[in-house]
Amino acid sequence: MGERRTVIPFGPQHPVLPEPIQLKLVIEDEKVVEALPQIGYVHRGLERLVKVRDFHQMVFVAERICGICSFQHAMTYCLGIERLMNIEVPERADYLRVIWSELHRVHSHLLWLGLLADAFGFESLFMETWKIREAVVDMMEATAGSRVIISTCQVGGVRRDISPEMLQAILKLADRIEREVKAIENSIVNDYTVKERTVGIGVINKEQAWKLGMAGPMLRGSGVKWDARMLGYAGYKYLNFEPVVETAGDCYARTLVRFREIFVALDLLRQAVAKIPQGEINVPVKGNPTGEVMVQVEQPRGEVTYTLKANGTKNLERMHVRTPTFANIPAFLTMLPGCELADVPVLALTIDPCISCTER
Amino acid sequence: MLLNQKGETVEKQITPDSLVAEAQKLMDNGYRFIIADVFESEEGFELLYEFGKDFDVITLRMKAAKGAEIPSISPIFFNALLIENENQDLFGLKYKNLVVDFGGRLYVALEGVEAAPQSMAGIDVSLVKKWKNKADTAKREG
Repeated sequence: MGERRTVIPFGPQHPVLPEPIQLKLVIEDEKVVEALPQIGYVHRGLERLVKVRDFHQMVFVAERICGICSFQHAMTYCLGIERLMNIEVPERADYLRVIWSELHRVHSHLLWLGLLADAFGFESLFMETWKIREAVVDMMEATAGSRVIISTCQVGGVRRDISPEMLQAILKLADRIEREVKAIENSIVNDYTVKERTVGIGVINKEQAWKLGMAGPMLRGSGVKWDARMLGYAGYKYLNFEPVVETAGDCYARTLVRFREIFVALDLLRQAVAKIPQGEINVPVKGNPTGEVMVQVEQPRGEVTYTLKANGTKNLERMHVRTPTFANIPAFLTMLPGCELADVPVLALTIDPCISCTER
Repeated sequence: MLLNQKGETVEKQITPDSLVAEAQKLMDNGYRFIIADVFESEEGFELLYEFGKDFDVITLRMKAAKGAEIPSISPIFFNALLIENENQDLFGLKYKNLVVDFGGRLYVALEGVEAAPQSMAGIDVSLVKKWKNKADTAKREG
């Protein structure tokens, strides 16, 4: 039977895609030979809002770039402004930033795990991971007043404190999540179905991963020990952690990295609660920022960069955001040629895509 | 001058003509491409290309007049294709030698969505495959 080329539009609406992106897949029989992305369905032009919103208001815009890693968007933006204005954030605020960041990482990874399970038909695992995640989102509501976009970060620190009682509740939550995630570990790490769908699929080696500019669990799943938290921003400079690294570079390795990062995040939560000092949670901010800065922060999906240019007025001249999904799409394109059509949903999810982030 | 995360500035002023050669040097020295930023003014554009190695960041800064053609670094750093296409979309910049040139339609217009499969005919995707083959060959050769 001769080979026939067919172009299949994958998305923008597809059961496996939580957000709209289209892939134009050129197929020969069941094999993908070419792939191109088509994006722009949720492009909002948020960066341009610096022209009309002042640099304090832009914190709220930044955290609306993405619902899943919203706190880290706001924090990255604030770190940039604080660098430009030479603002020293109180130590307690640094710790609080770590706590909310790691809560976001746990809920993001559990959300992703559920979506991956759903992608290859493991419905009970999908329900279990999302059930566990629900408790994290509840904790965000308990500490910040809202479940997704928590709006606690501000230039100069954080807007809300966490009471000693709530800090103890976070410790209890960490224990509970660890227990519940360990209970499903065998169903992910050693399951025949999971391995059949992920081992040896979408392999990117260490050198390719670095050259392709991959980010986050994608990069670490290919054996590169790079995590922006090692830069020591916010409270991470006071805490100990070791990035999770796998070397196989396939979908299974990336799954393991994200799965184990849940435990690392829980450990960071425990360390932060144990070490958090008493004191102020923010400092007054006077004047307007001047200069240019680029800040790198490790979101759940990987490194996000914010480039800010300020001219001494209340409005920035430019805010440019490079999100981890933006960094991982080129690698995704190189993974697709040669794979089977049935693997495309798993490969799409293996980058943990966030299209809202990508398009801004 | 662009401050990095550590509060340092490592920057090199270049011209668009020397961008590709400078990018190649960085690739040879083990750097990865992070992002390209565009600052727009009435006089033209200022482009900042950020590269990273370990936890250090180096910036290549250049000025470009409006309407000028800028050489793409995507044949060297494949991941630059997305941001360079975005810069074409959002700022009207024009890049030459982009490995996949969406022609200013990366962020699709509505008519582009409706004509998605057909529009492939106008886009050269073969270079994606060539780049992949080149990477695979390099991998085989160790």
